[in-house]
Amino acid sequence: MAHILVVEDERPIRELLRLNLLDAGYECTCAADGKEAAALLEEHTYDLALLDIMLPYVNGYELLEYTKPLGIPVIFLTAKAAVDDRVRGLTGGAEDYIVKPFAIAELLARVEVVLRRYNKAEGVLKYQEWTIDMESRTVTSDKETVHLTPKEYELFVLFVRNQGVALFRNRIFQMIWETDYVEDTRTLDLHIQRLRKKLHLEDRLKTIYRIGYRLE
Amino acid sequence: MKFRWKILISNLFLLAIAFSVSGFLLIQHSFERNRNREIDVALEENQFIQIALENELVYQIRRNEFDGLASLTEAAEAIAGNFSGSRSSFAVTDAARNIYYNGADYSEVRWELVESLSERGQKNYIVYRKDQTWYVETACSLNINNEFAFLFSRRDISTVFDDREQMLGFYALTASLVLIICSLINYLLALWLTMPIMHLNRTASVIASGSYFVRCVVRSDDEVGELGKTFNRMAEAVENHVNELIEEGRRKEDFVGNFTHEIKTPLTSIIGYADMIRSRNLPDETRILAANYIFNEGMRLETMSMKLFDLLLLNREEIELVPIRVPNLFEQIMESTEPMLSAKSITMEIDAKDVYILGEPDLLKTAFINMVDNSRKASQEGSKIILAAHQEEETVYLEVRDFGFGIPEEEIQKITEAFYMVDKSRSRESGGAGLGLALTDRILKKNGGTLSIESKLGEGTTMRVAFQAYHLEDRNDEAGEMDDIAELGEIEELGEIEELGEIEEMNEAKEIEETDDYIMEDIFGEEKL
Repeated sequence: MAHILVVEDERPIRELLRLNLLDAGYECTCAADGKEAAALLEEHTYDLALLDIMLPYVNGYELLEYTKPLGIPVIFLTAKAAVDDRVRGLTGGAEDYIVKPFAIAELLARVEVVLRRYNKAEGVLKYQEWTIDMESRTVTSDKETVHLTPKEYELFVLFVRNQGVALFRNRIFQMIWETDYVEDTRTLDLHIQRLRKKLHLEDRLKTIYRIGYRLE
Repeated sequence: MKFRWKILISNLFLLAIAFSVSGFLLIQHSFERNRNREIDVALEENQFIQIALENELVYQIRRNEFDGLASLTEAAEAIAGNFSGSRSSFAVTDAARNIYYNGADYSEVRWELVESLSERGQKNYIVYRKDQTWYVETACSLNINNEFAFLFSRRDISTVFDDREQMLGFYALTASLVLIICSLINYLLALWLTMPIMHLNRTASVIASGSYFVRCVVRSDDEVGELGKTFNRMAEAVENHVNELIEEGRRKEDFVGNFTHEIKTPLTSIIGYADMIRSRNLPDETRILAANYIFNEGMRLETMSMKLFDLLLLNREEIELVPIRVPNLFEQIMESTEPMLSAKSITMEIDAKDVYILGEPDLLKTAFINMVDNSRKASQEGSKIILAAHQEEETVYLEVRDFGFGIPEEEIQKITEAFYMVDKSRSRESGGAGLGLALTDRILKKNGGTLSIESKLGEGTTMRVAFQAYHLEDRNDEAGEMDDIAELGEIEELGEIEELGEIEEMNEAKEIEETDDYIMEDIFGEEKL
């Protein structure tokens, strides 16, 4: 169970992060300003830190200097979208840079990626009879091993991570294909159909009319 | 061409002209004097020969050897001996141009000299050149036995001309030498004179390349020194201007940065919570929490957009200034801010003299409410805020004093910038976006007021606004309208119109209440909910 430190001075956003990270199965500790975060970092160790940049007392860049020697990967979470700011954050040693406002699914995906990079994510995801091995990127059940194309695999992982959550078509499209959603495209539906067939998910991977899909 | 070269060349030109003209005139003058002297000498010589010749003839007559004109030859030969070896020689002729005597190397007789001679004693001369030699030739007429004869004498005056040539040559040499020396000195002088200009030029180039802080060194009090001083003044102005531009740029950049931050922060919450609600079946509690966050953050955006809108509008709208009695203004402000102050148990005191200012009442109220709100945010529970007003000569000072945290000195300048917050997390908690004081500052400027801020950390802040004092007497003198209104007011108290007045008053009161509510909502959107 990965433990994530959230440092954000805005209470609503802090709450938002906490709620969603807990839902996604992470442990989560929150700090409202740089000082508090620094104090927490002295006492505890975390698997990942989500840092706002404009923080009272000690800003995000300075906190990065705290976390670096501790080997805690950092994702910056900020409203500063200028290229300079991103470059500064990334060259400073941050693992990723998420610009506010962000979609929750995207945030979770990026958190996952960083944790995986640091081998801190769980190597195995389970969904009912299916087991996903994140290392070898294989999907198996007691009876069979299913071959999935890379996109199908990513799609399945996304659904498993967001069980019970309605995923919007455009969101899914952005996350898996990393392009903007094209209104008439059938690509997504075709992938979903194949996924349903291969993994016998016909009853469980539901279409939500005009919105998207949900894995029950 | 460089300026020093121009100075050098023009000076040299002038010098050369002066030297050559004066030198030439001098030499010419002395030459003429010498020549005239030689001519005089030649004339005297001619006279002398004439006398000698006549004496000789007289002598011949005495000895009865005189033989008319023919005797001239003998007589001339007799005196010629006296002239051998001198620079002169002579010839004797008669009127029919027969030559009776021709002295050594006297080859040519200038007949034109004697054409106008008729009587004895008359003389004529000519200066001419022959075979590189200058001569002065003199002629006079002789009357011998009623017959005319002419005496020509010639004198070599080449030395005079040679002297002139030599002097001219020598003078040209010396003048050239002197000119060369002069031009050297002149060049150095020009260099020395143009040095400050070159220094100025170098400074200007340095400034042009971006080092606006550089100044030139002024060493003299002359025009160049003046230019240097003016230049420095200009550089100063440019530097200030550039700094202002840089500061302005920084402010704009900050504004844009802060603006995006302030917009994106509530949007992040709104989008995030909305995303949660739309894509998941949330427990009731969480759903209400999420909706509440969306609502609050939406209100925050609304507050901010209203204030921004006010800020923008203020720049465009013309406002009408009316006389305001300051204690009345303060009372209205106290009424409006009472609820928000009591929530933090802050008390408010009014210490206002009976002074008047010109302004737009609603805007000024907004401005002062913002200032009080600012003080409230900086104050601890149970603290005190004082509204004070007094007049010093022609200036009325309105003050909002608090005893809160105070503002660090280096931040006072920035506090009226949009989105600036001294303590970001605290301001956020107390519901600000950093626009209140920016708005206040604009309003005050628009009303002709000047805001100054004094603050000591831990002791409190005084925000002082200076207005031009307004005198009631002015009103009486200037505007009869006011009196009319006052009279109307009096009439309203009587009879039928009284009711009308009351209704109006009520309406007015209601309006004020409404605007108050609006402002309160504006400021406490969050807390109220």
